[in-house]
Amino acid sequence: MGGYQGLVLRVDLTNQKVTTERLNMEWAADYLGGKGLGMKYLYEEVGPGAGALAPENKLIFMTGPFTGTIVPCSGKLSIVTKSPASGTILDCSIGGSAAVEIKRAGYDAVIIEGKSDHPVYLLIEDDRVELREAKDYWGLGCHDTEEKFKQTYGDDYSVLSTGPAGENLVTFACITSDMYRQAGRGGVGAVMGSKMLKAVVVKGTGGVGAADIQKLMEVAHNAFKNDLLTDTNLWAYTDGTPMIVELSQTTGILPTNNFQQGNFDKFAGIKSESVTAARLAKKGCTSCGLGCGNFIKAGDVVVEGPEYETLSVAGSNCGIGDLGAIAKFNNYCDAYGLDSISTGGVIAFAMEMTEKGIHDFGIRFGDVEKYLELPGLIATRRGLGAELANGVKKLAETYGGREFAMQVKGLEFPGYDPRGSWGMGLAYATAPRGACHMSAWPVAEEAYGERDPFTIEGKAELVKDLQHYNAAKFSLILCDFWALSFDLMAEMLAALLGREITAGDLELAGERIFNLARLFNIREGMGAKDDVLPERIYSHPLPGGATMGKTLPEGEFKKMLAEYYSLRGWDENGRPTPEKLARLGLA
Amino acid sequence: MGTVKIELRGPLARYGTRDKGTGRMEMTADNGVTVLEILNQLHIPCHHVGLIVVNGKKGTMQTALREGDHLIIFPVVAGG
Amino acid sequence: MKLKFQPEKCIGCHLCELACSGYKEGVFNPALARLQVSSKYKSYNLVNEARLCDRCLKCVDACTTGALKFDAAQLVLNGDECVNCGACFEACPTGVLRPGGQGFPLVCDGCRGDPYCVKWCPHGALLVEEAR
Repeated sequence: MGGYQGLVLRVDLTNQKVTTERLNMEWAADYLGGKGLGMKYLYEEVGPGAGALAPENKLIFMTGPFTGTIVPCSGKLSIVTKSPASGTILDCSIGGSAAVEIKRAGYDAVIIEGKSDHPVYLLIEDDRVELREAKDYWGLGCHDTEEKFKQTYGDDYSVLSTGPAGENLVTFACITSDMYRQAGRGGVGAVMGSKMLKAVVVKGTGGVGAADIQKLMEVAHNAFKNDLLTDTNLWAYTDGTPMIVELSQTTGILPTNNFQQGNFDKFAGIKSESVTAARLAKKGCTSCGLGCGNFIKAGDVVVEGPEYETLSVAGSNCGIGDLGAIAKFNNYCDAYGLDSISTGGVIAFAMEMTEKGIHDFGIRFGDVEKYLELPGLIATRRGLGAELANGVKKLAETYGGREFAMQVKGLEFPGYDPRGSWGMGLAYATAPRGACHMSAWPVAEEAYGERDPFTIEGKAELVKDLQHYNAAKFSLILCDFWALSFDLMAEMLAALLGREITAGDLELAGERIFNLARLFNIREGMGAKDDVLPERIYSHPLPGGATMGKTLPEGEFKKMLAEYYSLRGWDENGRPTPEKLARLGLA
Repeated sequence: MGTVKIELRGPLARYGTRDKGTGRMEMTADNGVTVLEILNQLHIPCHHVGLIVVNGKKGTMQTALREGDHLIIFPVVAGG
Repeated sequence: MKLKFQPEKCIGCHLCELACSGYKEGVFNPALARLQVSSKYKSYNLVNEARLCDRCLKCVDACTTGALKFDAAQLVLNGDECVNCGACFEACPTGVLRPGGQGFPLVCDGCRGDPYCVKWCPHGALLVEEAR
């Protein structure tokens, strides 16, 4: 068999028991792997109303069919669970080497269930799997945790860990691996903390096969030379995501001062050139040919980052334009185990609340000193951090400012202002996990591309198609930064699995996966009422630059949403019709 | 005839051969030259071109340039 | 020919090891590659290291049966003559020579002068250098 190992590792923390079982190959055929297959297991195993931080929730680490093969950019791991931030289905991916180690140890997936009554870590060395006491690690930051495990087991082990934020159930706690790679969004780290699982430490020595390995290597090498290492993808190597800062600044969608502006007067400090000037080395994930990571030294900090999302949401959006300060903030978030997007979002919200005199959080835009204190306070729920740890949505419910609480379904906005890229507004509103830039990224074609960003025309279809594309791609699993076609994905998958697979099959799988996520959320009581954007996007015009005077009017948004539902074969409440479900094999 | 300032971002910088790969250069061109004509002169394949910025504002392949204009060419980007 | 590693150009992708094991062993497994590359953060520094066969031929000298030979500018193993004595592994100064699944040494034959590991290196960290 090629691609899959055919085995799932199941870890019952309540009974401290580890078992293995066959991977459900029917599900693998329909949901591919990664995001899709993880969601299918979650959908089947975690019923409606389950508490996200309760023992009945599960934490699923899922690899994909390409994981561990020579297919470039296939090194990421999907982490699927129910989100404590949004109550939705949540999938979040992490780079580095952990996915490949899990696969080489012989497993397609690791499913964590129940809850331990004391801190533990999971040690995986091929078929030797043990839960071990983690009291010496509990309370440590992610970096120190990883260093300590590597001293004990060796540098060639991969570590997935949660930090103090996850231990303290902060709903935007992340999971860290290879020091500077994160599964950031939606609180995967809090779910790990709630189960008292400090870390997964994994080393595999096995291999991954392919049905037709010669053919796969031939196709993959051709793709590597002529489709991956091209001027369309190599920005990830020359610059990495900081390149996007200048794109957003120019097109007026760079979140600034909690989305009050779409460009930032101090942007020179956070643009790509500044990051590149501080760079020590480039770093990629296992099997990556690009190498987007920038390992930098800024002031007294070394860190891999900051990425665009941190530079924008935790930089300009907090009124901070000093790369040294943002790098330090990034490092604190990584160490404490916080999603730098949501952490930046919640701080920016507190800053505006204070400046508007609605509630005094004692922090204002550009206040670097207080800004740098907050990750530690939030992760340990001390002082002001105890409040901010609740996230933007809950803060607004308690103190007001709801119209500028920049979140959807409880997940804080990433770094693109939808008033300057209307399709992005639809993407935020309809992404299963809330305001998310990974389910579809139409900004590339709207704000940064040739399509008119200030119209709803054609956007419903664009967003729908991108959602299917990403759902399939992140299930296989391939990295976002390789802009490859469905045809090429299908050609490589066919050689790997030894059966005929078409681009159409993958597109349909993408649609199936996206609809399954929707069904999970519907089962939790969500629907059209939750597919909304904050009032600021509808009615606060941006004050300058390329987006001067722009909003995404609610009427236009509603029209775009209705068209989207209709194109999807969903009813006016955003529920897939029985015919659509039948066509997707979801009935 | 006039001079335009050009910056090529990311991997496109390699097309700026006369500037030691920094991607920054000045070019002499006729008034009214279009962005597309500049791209052709520099042998930059259009399908790798993303955002075009002229004097700080979004432009197109057809935008005509004048003396002193500042052109920035970004590559296509995917993901975020 | 000889392989050369430039650590400052390595991004730690391991495509070289995956290619080597894929072409030579028919499976993607870095443990079966004829070279070893490591790219890890150690004490908050990024450390890129590689072990490559540098054709020192100490393994050939150590071989007790003549199974390992340097012939026509490449290392060759005659499996029929190898008795799995392990002398070659001990003689290898870099440790790059390792046993494969059946205990035979995983010998880097340089892919007839056009190594797959180099072909799969995205940013030029691995090069072919002419030697001898």
